[in-house]
Amino acid sequence: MATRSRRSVLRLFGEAGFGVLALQAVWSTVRFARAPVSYAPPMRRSLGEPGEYAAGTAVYVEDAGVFVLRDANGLRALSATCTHLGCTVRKNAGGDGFTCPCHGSRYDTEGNVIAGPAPASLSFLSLRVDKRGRLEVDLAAEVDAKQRCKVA
Amino acid sequence: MRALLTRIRDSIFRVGWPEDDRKALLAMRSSIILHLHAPKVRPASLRFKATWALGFVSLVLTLSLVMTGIYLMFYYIPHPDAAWRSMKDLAFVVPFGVVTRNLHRWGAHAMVALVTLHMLRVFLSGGYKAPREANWVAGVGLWVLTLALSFTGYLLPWDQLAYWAVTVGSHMVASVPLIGKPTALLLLGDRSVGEAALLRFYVLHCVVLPCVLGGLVAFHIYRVRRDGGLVTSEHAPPEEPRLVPAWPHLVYRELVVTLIVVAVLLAVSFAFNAPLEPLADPGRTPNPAKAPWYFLGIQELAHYSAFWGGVFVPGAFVAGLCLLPYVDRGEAGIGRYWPPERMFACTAFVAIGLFFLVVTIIGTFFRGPAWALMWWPY
Repeated sequence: MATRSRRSVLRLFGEAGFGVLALQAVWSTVRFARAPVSYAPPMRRSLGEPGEYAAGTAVYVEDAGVFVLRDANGLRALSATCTHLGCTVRKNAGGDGFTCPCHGSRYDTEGNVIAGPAPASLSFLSLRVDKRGRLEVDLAAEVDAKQRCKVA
Repeated sequence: MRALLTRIRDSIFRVGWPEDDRKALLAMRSSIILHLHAPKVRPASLRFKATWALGFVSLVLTLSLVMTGIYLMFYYIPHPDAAWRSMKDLAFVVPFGVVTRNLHRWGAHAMVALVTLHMLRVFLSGGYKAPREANWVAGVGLWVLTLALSFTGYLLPWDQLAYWAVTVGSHMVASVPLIGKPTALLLLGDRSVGEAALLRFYVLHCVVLPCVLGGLVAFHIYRVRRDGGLVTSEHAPPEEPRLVPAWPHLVYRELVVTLIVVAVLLAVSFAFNAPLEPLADPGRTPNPAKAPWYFLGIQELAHYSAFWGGVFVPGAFVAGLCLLPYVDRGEAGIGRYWPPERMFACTAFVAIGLFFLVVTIIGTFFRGPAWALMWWPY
């Protein structure tokens, strides 16, 4: 076994000590910065009375950033957040779909991508009627495009 | 009384106003600011064409930005409820508030342009080659820091442009595979741009990044001196005159440049007001939503693909810049601009620069609502 001088072993310990110190500093800084508290608005938002949305329309609710779509079978909530870089899409003047103002991604009335850099369709979000009979959307819960919230 | 004043003055300025070269050298050594210079410099390095003063102007702008930034901090409140209102206070209530903000905004724009040109100048003269490799990498770091300071500063007015530029930027970060989403969460401190993000950007902009910048600037300038100043051409005439004292030859030039920079900056800041759009509205994206001009090239690329255009291409460019001095090690032609010996390297670098310039111009002038291509400037 190769012999090491006492000095080189102590130096190795010293270097390792500073290395450990640096690692724990980085680790604890990252942990510190990952705050477990959120001050953002809640993910569940009230969208008002179901009766406010007429059949065959797509109404933008600015507070929640969703379009409420109503057809004969019920209500759906379509996220207005563009899947490219998070801008809010707008309804086309002709009502034939949605366009993102940031980079021009275009979606059809069902939120499917027609053109532009968007990598995925707009998502449909969980919609239900709460105890008071108001619509509530859960921005964190994506649902299938066929799923509808039935209202009387 | 007269003697007392003289004693006080002499205790601060040990040498006094230097009348001859010997006293000039003594003065250079005894003053904390002057001793940052080498006592003697090459006459060739003093020629305007040798540097176009780009590095020094960047330094003057940095100091000006620190000073105006500290003034702004006395009125600015980093909270979504108050930030935009404090910009209005600066505009309508605070004496010289408008000019202070303009100086900070236009100084930041000039800084991005000049640091970029400084890098171009150093590249064209081969200033990144041994023994200056590490200093080139430090310079690349300073360029990235300049952009990071611009980006973090951009959110602070909390207007529509600020909010959406940073929303787009943070989604670009989040588009990176695996590490993107956790990194965006660390940066914003929340799942969307809000009060946590504003406070984080404020602290980064006013404390963290300037401290890192200060350390890197110190390293950068110290290394310039330790590495013997500017690169010299092997074709430099051997009969080149002897070194001249930095006082007054270099220091006077610096003072004149400082005067010109501050005068131009003041004139621009009195003539043009920094824009402020309506209060940030998370529910409504402006159309078109454009970042500041120096990020519009990246935005133009991101319009093709968030990750490849927005992150990968710029990231690969910066990584390439850092590796460059360790790969391109030829010694021929250094110390001259665009020499025949370095024709390929210089042409390639300028071509890449032109590419970014063209996409920036397209993004700035030829993109209208919904990022549609316009055939006339929008």
